[in-house]
Amino acid sequence: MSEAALPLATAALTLGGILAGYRAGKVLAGAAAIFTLISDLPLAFFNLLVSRIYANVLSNWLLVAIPMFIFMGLILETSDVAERSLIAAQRSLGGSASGIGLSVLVIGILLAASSGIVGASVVLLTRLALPRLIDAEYDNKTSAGLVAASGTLAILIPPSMMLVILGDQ
Amino acid sequence: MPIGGSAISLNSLLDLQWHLLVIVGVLPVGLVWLADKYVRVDFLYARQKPRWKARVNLIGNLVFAVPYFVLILPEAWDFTARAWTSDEASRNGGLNDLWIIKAILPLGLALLLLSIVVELVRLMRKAR
Repeated sequence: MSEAALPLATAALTLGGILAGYRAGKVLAGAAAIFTLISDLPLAFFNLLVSRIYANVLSNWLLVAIPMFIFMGLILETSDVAERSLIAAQRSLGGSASGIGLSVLVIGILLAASSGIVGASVVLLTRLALPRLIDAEYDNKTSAGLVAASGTLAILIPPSMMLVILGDQ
Repeated sequence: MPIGGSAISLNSLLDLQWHLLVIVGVLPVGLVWLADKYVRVDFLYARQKPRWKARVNLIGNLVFAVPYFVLILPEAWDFTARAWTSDEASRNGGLNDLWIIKAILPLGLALLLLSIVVELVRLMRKAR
Protein backbone atom coordinates (compact mmCIF):
# COMPACT_ATOMS: atom_id res chain seq x y z
CA MET A 1 0.00 0.00 0.00
CA SER A 2 2.54 2.52 1.15
CA GLU A 3 4.94 1.68 -1.71
CA ALA A 4 2.29 2.70 -4.23
CA ALA A 5 1.04 5.72 -2.27
CA LEU A 6 4.17 7.87 -2.41
CA PRO A 7 4.82 7.67 -6.17
CA LEU A 8 1.13 8.29 -6.84
CA ALA A 9 1.17 11.29 -4.52
CA THR A 10 4.27 12.64 -6.34
CA ALA A 11 2.55 12.30 -9.70
CA ALA A 12 -0.65 13.89 -8.37
CA LEU A 13 1.19 16.85 -6.86
CA THR A 14 3.24 17.41 -10.03
CA LEU A 15 0.25 17.18 -12.34
CA GLY A 16 -1.90 19.33 -10.04
CA GLY A 17 0.75 22.01 -9.78
CA ILE A 18 1.33 22.16 -13.51
CA LEU A 19 -2.38 22.26 -14.37
CA ALA A 20 -3.02 24.92 -11.73
CA GLY A 21 -0.70 27.12 -13.76
CA TYR A 22 2.27 27.50 -11.45
CA ARG A 23 5.68 27.83 -13.18
CA ALA A 24 6.22 24.37 -14.63
CA GLY A 25 9.96 24.12 -13.99
CA LYS A 26 9.59 24.93 -10.32
CA VAL A 27 6.71 22.48 -9.94
CA LEU A 28 9.01 19.67 -11.10
CA ALA A 29 11.89 20.83 -8.91
CA GLY A 30 9.69 21.45 -5.88
CA ALA A 31 7.80 18.15 -6.09
CA ALA A 32 11.14 16.35 -6.25
CA ALA A 33 12.39 18.28 -3.22
CA ILE A 34 9.27 17.66 -1.12
CA PHE A 35 9.19 13.94 -1.79
CA THR A 36 12.92 13.59 -1.21
CA LEU A 37 12.24 14.96 2.27
CA ILE A 38 9.03 12.98 2.91
CA SER A 39 10.27 9.61 1.67
CA ASP A 40 13.52 9.90 3.61
CA LEU A 41 15.81 9.56 0.60
CA PRO A 42 19.47 10.53 1.15
CA LEU A 43 19.97 14.26 0.59
CA ALA A 44 23.10 13.39 -1.39
CA PHE A 45 20.76 13.28 -4.40
CA PHE A 46 20.73 17.06 -4.30
CA ASN A 47 24.50 17.09 -4.28
CA LEU A 48 24.26 15.00 -7.44
CA LEU A 49 21.69 17.39 -8.90
CA VAL A 50 24.05 20.34 -8.55
CA SER A 51 26.89 18.52 -10.30
CA ARG A 52 24.47 17.44 -13.06
CA ILE A 53 23.35 21.03 -13.59
CA TYR A 54 26.94 22.11 -13.81
CA ALA A 55 28.19 19.30 -16.05
CA ASN A 56 25.24 18.95 -18.44
CA VAL A 57 23.86 22.47 -18.74
CA LEU A 58 26.30 25.11 -17.55
CA SER A 59 29.53 23.72 -18.98
CA ASN A 60 27.87 22.64 -22.21
CA TRP A 61 29.36 24.75 -24.96
CA LEU A 62 26.81 23.47 -27.49
CA LEU A 63 24.26 25.77 -25.85
CA VAL A 64 26.42 28.79 -26.75
CA ALA A 65 24.74 28.53 -30.17
CA ILE A 66 21.35 29.60 -28.78
CA PRO A 67 22.07 33.27 -27.92
CA MET A 68 23.93 33.48 -31.23
CA PHE A 69 20.81 32.33 -33.11
CA ILE A 70 18.70 34.92 -31.31
CA PHE A 71 21.28 37.60 -32.09
CA MET A 72 21.28 36.60 -35.76
CA GLY A 73 17.49 36.83 -35.94
CA LEU A 74 17.53 40.26 -34.31
CA ILE A 75 20.20 41.50 -36.73
CA LEU A 76 18.19 40.28 -39.72
CA GLU A 77 15.13 42.09 -38.41
CA THR A 78 16.57 45.41 -37.22
CA SER A 79 18.99 45.90 -40.12
CA ASP A 80 16.18 45.49 -42.71
CA VAL A 81 18.21 42.81 -44.49
CA ALA A 82 15.19 40.52 -44.47
CA GLU A 83 12.90 43.16 -45.92
CA ARG A 84 15.33 44.12 -48.65
CA SER A 85 15.99 40.52 -49.61
CA LEU A 86 12.24 39.99 -49.82
CA ILE A 87 11.99 42.88 -52.28
CA ALA A 88 14.98 41.56 -54.21
CA ALA A 89 13.50 38.06 -54.46
CA GLN A 90 10.21 39.54 -55.60
CA ARG A 91 11.83 41.60 -58.37
CA SER A 92 14.03 38.75 -59.54
CA LEU A 93 10.90 36.62 -59.95
CA GLY A 94 9.43 39.23 -62.28
CA GLY A 95 7.18 41.07 -59.87
CA SER A 96 4.11 39.09 -60.84
CA ALA A 97 1.45 38.09 -58.32
CA SER A 98 2.58 34.47 -58.18
CA GLY A 99 6.18 35.69 -57.87
CA ILE A 100 5.32 37.37 -54.57
CA GLY A 101 4.02 34.10 -53.15
CA LEU A 102 7.13 32.24 -54.28
CA SER A 103 9.46 34.95 -52.93
CA VAL A 104 7.82 34.70 -49.49
CA LEU A 105 8.59 30.98 -49.51
CA VAL A 106 12.20 31.65 -50.62
CA ILE A 107 12.73 34.23 -47.86
CA GLY A 108 11.17 31.81 -45.38
CA ILE A 109 13.82 29.25 -46.32
CA LEU A 110 16.58 31.88 -46.08
CA LEU A 111 15.44 33.01 -42.63
CA ALA A 112 15.08 29.40 -41.52
CA ALA A 113 18.62 28.55 -42.50
CA SER A 114 20.10 31.61 -40.81
CA SER A 115 18.10 32.24 -37.65
CA GLY A 116 16.44 28.95 -36.76
CA ILE A 117 13.79 30.24 -34.35
CA VAL A 118 10.15 29.67 -35.24
CA GLY A 119 8.80 32.66 -33.31
CA ALA A 120 11.24 35.10 -34.84
CA SER A 121 10.75 34.09 -38.45
CA VAL A 122 6.96 33.86 -38.21
CA VAL A 123 6.74 37.31 -36.64
CA LEU A 124 9.16 38.74 -39.19
CA LEU A 125 7.31 37.26 -42.17
CA THR A 126 3.95 38.38 -40.79
CA ARG A 127 5.16 41.94 -40.52
CA LEU A 128 7.02 42.02 -43.84
CA ALA A 129 5.23 39.71 -46.20
CA LEU A 130 1.60 39.66 -45.14
CA PRO A 131 0.84 43.27 -46.21
CA ARG A 132 2.50 42.61 -49.58
CA LEU A 133 0.53 39.44 -50.13
CA ILE A 134 -2.72 41.20 -49.31
CA ASP A 135 -1.78 44.10 -51.61
CA ALA A 136 -1.22 41.56 -54.38
CA GLU A 137 -4.80 40.41 -53.82
CA TYR A 138 -4.08 37.02 -52.34
CA ASP A 139 -7.03 36.05 -50.18
CA ASN A 140 -6.55 36.10 -46.40
CA LYS A 141 -6.56 32.34 -45.94
CA THR A 142 -3.89 31.68 -48.56
CA SER A 143 -1.59 34.45 -47.40
CA ALA A 144 -1.86 33.49 -43.72
CA GLY A 145 -1.21 29.85 -44.59
CA LEU A 146 1.78 30.74 -46.73
CA VAL A 147 3.31 32.89 -43.99
CA ALA A 148 2.71 30.26 -41.33
CA ALA A 149 4.12 27.44 -43.46
CA SER A 150 7.25 29.25 -44.60
CA GLY A 151 7.82 30.68 -41.12
CA THR A 152 7.72 27.32 -39.37
CA LEU A 153 10.28 25.93 -41.82
CA ALA A 154 12.78 27.40 -39.34
CA ILE A 155 12.81 24.31 -37.13
CA LEU A 156 13.15 21.92 -40.05
CA ILE A 157 16.13 23.36 -41.91
CA PRO A 158 19.25 22.19 -40.08
CA PRO A 159 20.93 25.01 -38.22
CA SER A 160 17.92 25.46 -35.93
CA MET A 161 17.56 25.91 -32.22
CA MET A 162 15.31 22.91 -31.69
CA LEU A 163 17.79 20.60 -33.41
CA VAL A 164 20.61 21.99 -31.24
CA ILE A 165 18.65 21.12 -28.10
CA LEU A 166 17.56 17.72 -29.42
CA GLY A 167 21.07 16.93 -30.61
CA ASP A 168 22.40 17.64 -27.14
CA GLN A 169 20.48 14.79 -25.53
CA MET B 1 47.44 32.40 -10.01
CA PRO B 2 45.80 34.38 -12.82
CA ILE B 3 42.62 32.96 -14.25
CA GLY B 4 43.97 32.68 -17.78
CA GLY B 5 46.99 30.54 -16.83
CA SER B 6 50.34 31.36 -18.40
CA ALA B 7 49.06 32.24 -21.87
CA ILE B 8 45.87 32.66 -23.89
CA SER B 9 45.22 29.39 -25.68
CA LEU B 10 42.45 28.12 -27.92
CA ASN B 11 41.09 26.07 -25.05
CA SER B 12 40.93 29.05 -22.71
CA LEU B 13 38.96 30.96 -25.35
CA LEU B 14 36.61 27.97 -25.75
CA ASP B 15 36.13 27.95 -21.98
CA LEU B 16 35.51 31.68 -22.01
CA GLN B 17 32.60 31.12 -24.42
CA TRP B 18 30.57 29.00 -22.04
CA HIS B 19 31.69 31.03 -19.01
CA LEU B 20 30.11 34.09 -20.61
CA LEU B 21 26.99 32.08 -21.49
CA VAL B 22 26.66 30.96 -17.87
CA ILE B 23 26.91 34.55 -16.65
CA VAL B 24 24.34 35.73 -19.20
CA GLY B 25 22.04 32.77 -18.56
CA VAL B 26 22.12 32.32 -14.79
CA LEU B 27 22.39 35.78 -13.24
CA PRO B 28 19.15 37.25 -14.68
CA VAL B 29 16.91 34.35 -13.53
CA GLY B 30 15.59 36.45 -10.63
CA LEU B 31 14.62 39.31 -12.91
CA VAL B 32 12.94 36.88 -15.32
CA TRP B 33 11.01 35.48 -12.35
CA LEU B 34 9.81 38.94 -11.30
CA ALA B 35 8.83 39.75 -14.89
CA ASP B 36 6.74 36.53 -14.80
CA LYS B 37 8.29 35.11 -17.98
CA TYR B 38 8.66 31.51 -16.77
CA VAL B 39 6.92 28.75 -18.71
CA ARG B 40 3.43 27.98 -17.44
CA VAL B 41 0.74 25.59 -18.63
CA ASP B 42 -1.85 28.32 -18.70
CA PHE B 43 -4.92 27.00 -20.51
CA LEU B 44 -6.76 27.06 -17.17
CA TYR B 45 -4.66 29.69 -15.42
CA ALA B 46 -5.13 32.41 -18.07
CA ARG B 47 -8.92 32.46 -17.53
CA GLN B 48 -8.78 32.98 -13.75
CA LYS B 49 -9.29 36.21 -11.84
CA PRO B 50 -6.20 38.11 -10.59
CA ARG B 51 -6.97 37.12 -7.00
CA TRP B 52 -7.05 33.43 -7.88
CA LYS B 53 -3.79 33.77 -9.83
CA ALA B 54 -2.17 35.43 -6.84
CA ARG B 55 -3.30 32.54 -4.65
CA VAL B 56 -1.90 29.94 -7.06
CA ASN B 57 1.44 31.75 -7.06
CA LEU B 58 1.46 32.22 -3.30
CA ILE B 59 0.76 28.56 -2.56
CA GLY B 60 3.12 27.46 -5.33
CA ASN B 61 5.94 29.58 -3.95
CA LEU B 62 5.48 28.16 -0.48
CA VAL B 63 4.93 24.52 -1.49
CA PHE B 64 7.31 24.13 -4.43
CA ALA B 65 9.94 26.87 -4.42
CA VAL B 66 10.83 27.06 -0.73
CA PRO B 67 11.67 23.34 -0.14
CA TYR B 68 13.66 23.27 -3.36
CA PHE B 69 15.81 26.23 -2.33
CA VAL B 70 16.23 24.95 1.22
CA LEU B 71 17.75 21.78 -0.23
CA ILE B 72 19.69 23.06 -3.20
CA LEU B 73 21.28 26.28 -1.90
CA PRO B 74 23.59 24.63 0.69
CA GLU B 75 24.57 21.98 -1.85
CA ALA B 76 25.35 24.57 -4.52
CA TRP B 77 27.42 26.46 -1.96
CA ASP B 78 29.33 23.28 -1.00
CA PHE B 79 29.94 22.60 -4.66
CA THR B 80 31.56 26.00 -5.09
CA ALA B 81 33.49 25.68 -1.82
CA ARG B 82 34.94 22.33 -2.93
CA ALA B 83 36.21 23.92 -6.14
CA TRP B 84 37.71 26.76 -4.07
CA THR B 85 39.49 24.55 -1.49
CA SER B 86 40.84 22.11 -4.09
CA ASP B 87 41.84 25.01 -6.39
CA GLU B 88 40.13 23.25 -9.26
CA ALA B 89 41.27 24.18 -12.75
CA SER B 90 40.21 23.20 -16.24
CA ARG B 91 41.11 19.64 -17.21
CA ASN B 92 42.04 20.53 -20.76
CA GLY B 93 44.36 23.50 -20.37
CA GLY B 94 41.57 26.07 -20.43
CA LEU B 95 40.76 28.67 -17.82
CA ASN B 96 41.98 28.16 -14.27
CA ASP B 97 40.00 29.07 -11.14
CA LEU B 98 36.81 27.15 -11.90
CA TRP B 99 35.36 28.32 -8.55
CA ILE B 100 34.53 31.68 -10.15
CA ILE B 101 32.13 30.17 -12.65
CA LYS B 102 30.85 27.64 -10.13
CA ALA B 103 30.07 30.52 -7.74
CA ILE B 104 27.65 31.89 -10.35
CA LEU B 105 25.30 28.97 -9.64
CA PRO B 106 24.71 29.64 -5.89
CA LEU B 107 24.72 33.38 -6.64
CA GLY B 108 22.04 33.04 -9.31
CA LEU B 109 19.96 30.73 -7.10
CA ALA B 110 20.26 33.18 -4.20
CA LEU B 111 19.11 36.04 -6.44
CA LEU B 112 16.19 33.87 -7.56
CA LEU B 113 15.29 33.15 -3.93
CA LEU B 114 15.47 36.89 -3.19
CA SER B 115 13.08 37.67 -6.03
CA ILE B 116 10.74 34.91 -4.85
CA VAL B 117 10.69 36.51 -1.39
CA VAL B 118 9.94 39.89 -3.00
CA GLU B 119 7.14 38.29 -4.98
CA LEU B 120 5.78 36.59 -1.85
CA VAL B 121 5.45 39.93 -0.08
CA ARG B 122 3.64 41.42 -3.10
CA LEU B 123 1.37 38.37 -3.43
CA MET B 124 0.31 38.41 0.20
CA ARG B 125 -1.30 41.78 -0.43
CA LYS B 126 -2.94 40.68 -3.68
CA ALA B 127 -4.22 37.28 -2.57
CA ARG B 128 -6.46 38.70 0.11
